[in-house]
Amino acid sequence: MKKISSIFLLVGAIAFSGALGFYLVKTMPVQQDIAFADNIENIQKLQTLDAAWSLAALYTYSTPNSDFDEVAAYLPRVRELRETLSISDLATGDVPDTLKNKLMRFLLMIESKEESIEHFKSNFAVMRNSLKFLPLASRALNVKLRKMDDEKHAASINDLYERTNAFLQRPDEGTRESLLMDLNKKDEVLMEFPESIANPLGNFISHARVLVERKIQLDSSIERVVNLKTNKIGDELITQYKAYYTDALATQYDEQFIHFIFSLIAALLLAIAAITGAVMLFRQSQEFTEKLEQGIAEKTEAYEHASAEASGSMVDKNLDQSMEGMGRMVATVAHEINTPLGYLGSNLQVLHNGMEKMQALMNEFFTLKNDLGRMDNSDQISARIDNFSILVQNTQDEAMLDELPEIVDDMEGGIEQIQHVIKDLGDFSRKDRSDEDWFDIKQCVESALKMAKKEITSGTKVQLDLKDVPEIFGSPAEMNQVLINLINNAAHAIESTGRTDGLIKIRTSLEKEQVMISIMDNGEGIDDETRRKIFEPFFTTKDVGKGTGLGLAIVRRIVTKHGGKVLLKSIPGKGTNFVFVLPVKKKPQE
Amino acid sequence: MMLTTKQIMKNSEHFSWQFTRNVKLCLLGVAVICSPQILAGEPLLDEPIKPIPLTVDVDLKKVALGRLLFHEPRLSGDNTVSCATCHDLKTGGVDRTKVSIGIKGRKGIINSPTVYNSGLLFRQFWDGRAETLEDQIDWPVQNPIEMGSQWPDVLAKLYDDDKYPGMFKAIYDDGITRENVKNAIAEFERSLITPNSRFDQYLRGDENAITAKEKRGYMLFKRYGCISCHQGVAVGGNMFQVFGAINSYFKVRGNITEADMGRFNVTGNPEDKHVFKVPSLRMVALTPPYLHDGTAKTMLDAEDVMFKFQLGRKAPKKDKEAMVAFLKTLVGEHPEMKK
Repeated sequence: MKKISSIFLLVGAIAFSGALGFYLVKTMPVQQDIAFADNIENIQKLQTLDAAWSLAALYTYSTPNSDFDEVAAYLPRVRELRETLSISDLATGDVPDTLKNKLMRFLLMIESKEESIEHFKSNFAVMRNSLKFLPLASRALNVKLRKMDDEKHAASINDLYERTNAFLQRPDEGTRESLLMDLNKKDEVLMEFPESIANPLGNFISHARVLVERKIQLDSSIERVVNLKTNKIGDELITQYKAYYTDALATQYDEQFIHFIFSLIAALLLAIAAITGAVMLFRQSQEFTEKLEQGIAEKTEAYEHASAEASGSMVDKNLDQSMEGMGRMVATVAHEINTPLGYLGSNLQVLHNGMEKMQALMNEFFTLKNDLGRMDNSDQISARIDNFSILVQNTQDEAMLDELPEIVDDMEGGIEQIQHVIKDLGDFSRKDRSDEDWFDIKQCVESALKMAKKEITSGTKVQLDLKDVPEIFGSPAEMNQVLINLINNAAHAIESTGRTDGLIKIRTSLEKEQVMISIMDNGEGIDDETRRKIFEPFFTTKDVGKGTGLGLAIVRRIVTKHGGKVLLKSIPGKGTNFVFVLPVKKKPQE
Repeated sequence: MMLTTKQIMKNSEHFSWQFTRNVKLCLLGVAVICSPQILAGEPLLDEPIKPIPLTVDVDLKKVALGRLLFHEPRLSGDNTVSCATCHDLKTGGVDRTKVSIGIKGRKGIINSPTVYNSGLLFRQFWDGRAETLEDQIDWPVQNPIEMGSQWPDVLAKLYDDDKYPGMFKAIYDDGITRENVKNAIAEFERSLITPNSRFDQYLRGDENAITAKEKRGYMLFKRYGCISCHQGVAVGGNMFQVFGAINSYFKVRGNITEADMGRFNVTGNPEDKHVFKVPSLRMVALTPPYLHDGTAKTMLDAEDVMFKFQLGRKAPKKDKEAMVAFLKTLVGEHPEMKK
């Protein structure tokens, strides 16, 4: 019996170790967990790198004297991550095709970003040059043509120059085509001019043409660099991958459970057969269960770790979003400031040249004055004076003295434009703009309307429905600004539809202990995508030069400061209704 | 004199530099210590051109092996052409011909660029088709009009050699492989930087490192807009640009070849027609003839083409000469240049 029992025991032990071994082999999860965590980490790294790359490109775009080394330096790092991911098990392994396709899409997007960055660099380099050269070329031509009393052509060059500038400020396809056509026409009649004009005119036309041709390309390459939805696709990829992994893990648990049952049945059958070994076997199977539980616990932990990393990506995402906001800020401010700075620079160069010529003339004058004292022959004197007159005439032409007032005007305009941007920035960041007091919102609406009047197109009607409401405590000047910004936006929304029956409705009322101010327009409306970002600083849908993208951010900041809230309802194509509510406070007894 | 691994190591130890698997290679041992920037005034930090770093991180064993392979004619199909045939290190890293001659007298289709500072470039080849120096090597080795070889043959030849198997084994666990050959050559190429040019000394704060005429040349180089593309550490080599940015070059030159299509051959994007990598101007003074088609014999010729087609403006000869003077100050130092 003892012998039989020990044989049974032996058989049972072998069978049991076999089952256990089978179970262990089938449930080795470690490798996959590491791959999962690695892939997630690499996707996130690529997302971060991608966001930083956009910023680097924008920095280059907005910085004078910048080089392209930094932007180029991202290339190898991006490439390495892209390659690692493209040969990872997520791309090649046993994962569903939807997931593989998503990864491919993400990687292709990054690849197309590389291409957009290259196009941005090339276009920007050429445009940066031509932007500097064009004003100089146009002025030099003007002076030459005026000297030849050719006012007609001087005016037409001026016109082309102005139109090119206007186009660069607000590019659109229609203007582009007509401008290119006119430039080509000028190019065709080049031979009719004397060589001294034809050469600089040819240069002027070439540069203007390059600017017009490349402007839209440059803008779209920047647009592609900044707004490519790599982050979104990356997030989707991570979410889907996580979901898949959770499922796969669950399936694995199921399989493990079946293996466990099989092992148990086998073990139990053997245990019944080997009665003497049964007790032993049973104890071992208890150990086995513990082992399984431990395995499951470990895996759950690994999964939670991966989840925690994924939620770490939420932090990154917020960071990316604020970087996106910052990128937009850099781009907007750079755009707004760079244009006037550009012509300030080139005008200064003209002034500088003029000054040098004037200096030379003055020196000549003193030499002449000295020499005259020593001369007695009047012919000699008059010859010297004639020579001097010619020199004066030449200096007048070459130093562009006639142009000076205009050049200085231009520069003043440029400085004003920059001041405007800075002031907007200041309004946004300033904490205590003015004193607080009790004020009547009705008066506020009326004064804001007066100030915003010039923005409202002539066909647009303004309807007021101002009910008596309690006085508000706060800063009337700031509230004025809120109203001006909202009225301006309403006016612009109507203007961009081009409709002649525009309507702006402003209402004030008291609702549930709160003063409600509503500004409604029948303009173009706001789509969902825009609505999400509309209160962010530096977000703007307006053309360059028209808005700094701070208006609504200022509105929200001021209203929130006053304890209120801004609400927005909009139907694209129909109109928008901005409503803000302010709390009614108890006025202290006087 | 050969710059041997031993000597470099001696230098490095002398300056008690960190000595790990990746040894910091001090290419200009003494120059680093006595270089003028320590004595001189404020460095010019805001210039669009930046100085080449004085040192580069490379694995010295790989550099030594790569140097041998770079001069190894057995990489070619008929054992006649090595990398150094067209990229002669003594003549600025080029062969100074319009197009290079490969095995059996076969003529290339595009001007060979210098191998010096190629590690500073963002991509390789005129059309940027290789993203790394390692990738680049596949083309010349296998191109029938260059070295006309097959990798299995190359590896077999190297394997039969006395020294190579041991040298490879000492660095790479898997010995002689295609990837390892490419990696060693690339590592050698990465060591070919040319720091401490007179212009770099000027950037580092030595005002007297370049003459008044050369300074004027640099000022003009910026004012005329050359700097828009030729900027950064390598004075180019970090971006693409269309050849004919303002006026069409190929319309004037005619006879457009496949090589003239530039990056379009790589991407197929019409926007990339006639787009080329902006070449680095660091070694320009030593590497005539110029342009991808090698049609400009002198620097002045090349400037003429650039003014006409890339800048769309005119400059007096005096200005162009000043710019040539400036370009000559960009050439730095490397022990291989003096051998």
